[in-house]
Amino acid sequence: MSESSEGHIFKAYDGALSELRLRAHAMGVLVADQVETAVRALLDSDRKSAELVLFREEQINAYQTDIEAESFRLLAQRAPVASDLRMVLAISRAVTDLERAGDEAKKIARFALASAGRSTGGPSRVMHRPLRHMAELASEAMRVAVDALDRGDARVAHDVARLDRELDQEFEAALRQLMTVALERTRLLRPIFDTVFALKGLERIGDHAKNVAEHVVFLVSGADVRHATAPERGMPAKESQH
Amino acid sequence: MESADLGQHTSKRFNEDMERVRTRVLEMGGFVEQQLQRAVKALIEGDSNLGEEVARDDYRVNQMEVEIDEECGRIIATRQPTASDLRVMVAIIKTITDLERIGDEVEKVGHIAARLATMEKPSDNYREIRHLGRLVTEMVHDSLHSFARLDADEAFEVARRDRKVDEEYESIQRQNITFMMEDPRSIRRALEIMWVVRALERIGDHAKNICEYTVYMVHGKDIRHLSLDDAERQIRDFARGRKGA
Repeated sequence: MSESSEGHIFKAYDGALSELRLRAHAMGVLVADQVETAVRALLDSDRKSAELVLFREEQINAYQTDIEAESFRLLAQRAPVASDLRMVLAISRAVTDLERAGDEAKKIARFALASAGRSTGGPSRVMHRPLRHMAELASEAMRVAVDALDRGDARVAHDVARLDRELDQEFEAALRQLMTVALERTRLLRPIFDTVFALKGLERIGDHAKNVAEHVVFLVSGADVRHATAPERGMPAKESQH
Repeated sequence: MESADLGQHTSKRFNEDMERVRTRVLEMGGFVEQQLQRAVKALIEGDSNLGEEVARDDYRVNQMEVEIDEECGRIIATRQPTASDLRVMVAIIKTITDLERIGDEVEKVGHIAARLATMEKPSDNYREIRHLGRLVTEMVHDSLHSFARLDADEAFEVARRDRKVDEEYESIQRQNITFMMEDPRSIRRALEIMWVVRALERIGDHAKNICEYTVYMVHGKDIRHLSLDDAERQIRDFARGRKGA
């Protein structure tokens, strides 16, 4: 009898863990979609889409609160060991990054709303391509990372890191291009700078996706790789150090 | 939603573990605060060596985060803390995440300070940034103070200052754009300054987060997605309800 009841406890526990993973995955998919929707709203001056992003931001916050509360409840009640503990920690850390990525999408949606009502309009034409491209890269990175979290697959960490590097390069290129435009058309400085922040937000989303992938590596191997590049980051001024 | 009574733990060893971790968090916070002061100093004084030094020293912040994080994981796994003890651990884990991010923002300011040192200084000699830097440094310091003393009232007061930081941020950015329009040759410098101002504004956000964890630690209430007014009202109503019961 004690055997069967123990088996039952295990099952309930596994159930709670996979439920947690499922919710984190759903939250991540929503965040990836927020990124695309926000940028589309910006490019098309589409108020409805921008408002949708702001509305769904509340859902993302609710996801965060729920998943964290559930994680800590599991920690307290079941005192998970080793790999299960890592799972709970990895998920709660990933959720922090997902929420921050969602926050960046929200800021882009706010910019979309503000520029839809402004006479100078949204981002200038030359910026449409980099915005669209960076939005694709950022949401792709996010999707790959949250799928990896769902499957417990650390092998894709490299793919996410590559996408993140591409985003960094795109951002630097777009920034240089924008500065040239700014010098010629000072009247458009405000929208130009808002565009820089939108691009910067997309670049940050890539960082958060990379963090999520690193939490998956921690989950699978127990190795904390978050600051593995710390000595490099201390190197003298790189152009990407904004 | 019982209040944290840090004097009465079921486990003495847990108590000792936790005190040790809290001390390390405060050490980490002290170092981050010092980094922030040095970065702003490097910027204002045009000291590129100091800027680079600050950026280089960020690895120590990262190191501290990983060490404290591991220690917390170990404590949770071995001591099986009760719900309210666990809440303290959670608040600590979250606090060091925000401290680490403050460190990252400071690192950026260090790099930018080094680059700006080679350019001509703006005519106002960074008066506005100096002011914003002071506001933000005080926020970081006071948020850690409320964390150390488990003072939720102070935490609320500090968190409220973030609005002032946001206002300053907006006003400096607007002014910055005006400068650029008047003198397009200053655009490169103005852009660098824009990132500094943004980093400082973010640091204010992180300090506010730390205040929210302190409220969580003391009252057991997650207030991150509430307005501060609503959060304070709910906590007050709850306390009154308990007294009446």
